[in-house]
Amino acid sequence: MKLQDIPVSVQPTDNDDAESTFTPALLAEIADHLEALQERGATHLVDLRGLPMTRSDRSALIGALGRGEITIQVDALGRSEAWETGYAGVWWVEHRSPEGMVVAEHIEIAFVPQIVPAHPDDVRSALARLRARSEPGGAVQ
Amino acid sequence: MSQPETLGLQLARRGISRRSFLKFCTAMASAMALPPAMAAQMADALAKAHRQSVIWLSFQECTGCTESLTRSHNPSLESLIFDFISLDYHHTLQAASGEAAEHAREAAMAANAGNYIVVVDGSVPLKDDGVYSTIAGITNLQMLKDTVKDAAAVVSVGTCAAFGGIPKAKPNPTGAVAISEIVTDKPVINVSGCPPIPVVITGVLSHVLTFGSIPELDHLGRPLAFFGETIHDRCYRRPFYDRGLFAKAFDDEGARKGWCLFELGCKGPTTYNACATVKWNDGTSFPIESGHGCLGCSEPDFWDGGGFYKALSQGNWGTAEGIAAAAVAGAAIGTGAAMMSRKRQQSMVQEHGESEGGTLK
Amino acid sequence: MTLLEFARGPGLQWSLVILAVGMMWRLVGILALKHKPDFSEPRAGGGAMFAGAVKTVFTRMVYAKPFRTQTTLASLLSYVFHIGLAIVVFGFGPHILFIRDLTGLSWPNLPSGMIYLTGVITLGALVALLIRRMTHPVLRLLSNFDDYFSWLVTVLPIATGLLAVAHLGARYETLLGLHILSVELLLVWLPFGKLGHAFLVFVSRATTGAVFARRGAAT
Repeated sequence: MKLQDIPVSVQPTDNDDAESTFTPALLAEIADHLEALQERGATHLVDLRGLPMTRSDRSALIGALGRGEITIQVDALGRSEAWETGYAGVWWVEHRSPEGMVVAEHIEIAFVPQIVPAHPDDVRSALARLRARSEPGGAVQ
Repeated sequence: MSQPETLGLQLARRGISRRSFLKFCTAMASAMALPPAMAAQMADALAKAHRQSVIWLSFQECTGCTESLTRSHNPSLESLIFDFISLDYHHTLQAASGEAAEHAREAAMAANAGNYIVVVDGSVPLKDDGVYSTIAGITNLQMLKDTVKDAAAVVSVGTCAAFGGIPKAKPNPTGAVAISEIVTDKPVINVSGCPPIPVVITGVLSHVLTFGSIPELDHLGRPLAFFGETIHDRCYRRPFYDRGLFAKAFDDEGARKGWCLFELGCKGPTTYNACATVKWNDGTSFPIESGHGCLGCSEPDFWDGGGFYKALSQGNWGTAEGIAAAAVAGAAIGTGAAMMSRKRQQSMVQEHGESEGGTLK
Repeated sequence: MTLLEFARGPGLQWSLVILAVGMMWRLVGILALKHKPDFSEPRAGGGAMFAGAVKTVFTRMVYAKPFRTQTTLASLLSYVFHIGLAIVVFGFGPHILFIRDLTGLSWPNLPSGMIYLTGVITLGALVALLIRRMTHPVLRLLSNFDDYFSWLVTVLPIATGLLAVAHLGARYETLLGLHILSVELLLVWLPFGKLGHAFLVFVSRATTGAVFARRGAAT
């Protein structure tokens, strides 16, 4: 008997016919946070891994949010991608490890995802490096 | 090291950017179910922190815990923890050996007195003055006491260190005990599991590094972020339990359909760990997903729980002979009672002669 | 040793031992008693006596007509909780495993949702019966410690079982430990108090049935 002849098939548990309330609930939450962003500039992150999301919930969510015109790619310790959804200010952010595994996944409600802008400390040290470079005799780092 | 430079500066020189910090902290925050907005604060704190000295002691253990950590899902991300800490002593991982190794431990203890963290895997034998496990001629008990004396905190990694594990299993020939039974005057964080999930080890260390505090613990000293819920509560097979659909054998219809493994001895309902959400082997699966019940490896004395394949609702009630003996004893007492009663009736009859209602045989 | 370990181990073992001792003690103690000889001419033979014994076990399940109007509610409630208990004890998957472990006997289980619902109804019926016992003037006068304690040890397993299922009040392992301990309390008390009717009811009814059949009386 070959291995594939053994009739093992684990039936997925999330193919229930019942209409899931997950996506409508999450969309309503996102809308509330988007309102906060518009009124007070408050940003928010929704950790998708912390939510009880089935596969069908997930595809429903992706379908409902759609995809906008910006995709940002960050190469820091593996690839991170952030794309704006069909709704401005609502981003889908996916962090991958150098091995390509998804290590964190968020819906971020912000004008720009937090991984993107330069940190003031980094700007300070960048300026110092640039100045050193343009000074006479400055070493190229 | 009078004024050590910050981790941020140290690592920036090695090409590990602030965004990498943020990403590491985002992954950790997600794993620890912290509010995601906390990741930015953690990254800032980490960048400003100094390298934390860590002394790793291995006692009665199998090195599985170290294997778990060094072969984690995302080695290049999770092993970043080794860049955040200064691992000053670890048998298995350090290059030095013998005298030099012990000197490294003593030097780190002297240099960071009061501030270093001690990570322990393995239990400590107490019987016969602890002779059953020694390193460099020093008993585990002595080494633990000496090393912990000036430590800031202790992290017990793995079920052996946290609860005694297999060395403590019956009949416990070496008198093994958990670390928390010896270290009573310092905070001890128990990261149990056989082995623990790598991200749980990393997460706890990151928490201590970034917040400078001990995470919230349960009554067994385990971080609630990872040990707050049972396997059963987060199990994808839970709906089958609720509907009363159980696999009765490992190769029956129910097993093929992925029904609940409760009857096959799954200890998920009484086991607190993050396997069902974090999973193992690159997020592939966790034991129940592979068709085997949970052994309860992150719980105290899981080896002596009466059998991995014995359902939780079944008892360890001894033998049928014992119950039969009890029944015989009961019958004997009953016979005795009836005989006494007969005797009493007899004597009453003799006293009063024949009663109106007829004679008693 | 944790609470659950004690409940599954020594607690269970000792409660079973006490149950076995107690049951045999009472059964043998009663059966081996000296009985009054019946000098009347037997109206029926051994076969009819046996039939009468079996018949009476069942006919007495129906309340006698003269009392029916007064006891309709109480007897209904009693039926509800007895049948409910049977469904919960013998229909729930984990309970069947427990019994299989003890006796080797096994049968298919009922859907767990049905068990939970039955448990709640059973608990409700028992509470209603307690209220009746405490408010009914005659019943209150007749009730002693045995009645109330027997009620308590019957209710505890249902209450703790429902709590364990709902994960309410404590961690699951603690609730499960308490649940098993409450069952053990029931097993220990069973032979010695009024709960002894669980097995003695068959003895008393069958005896009555056999005696009546011998005399040719209706049972």
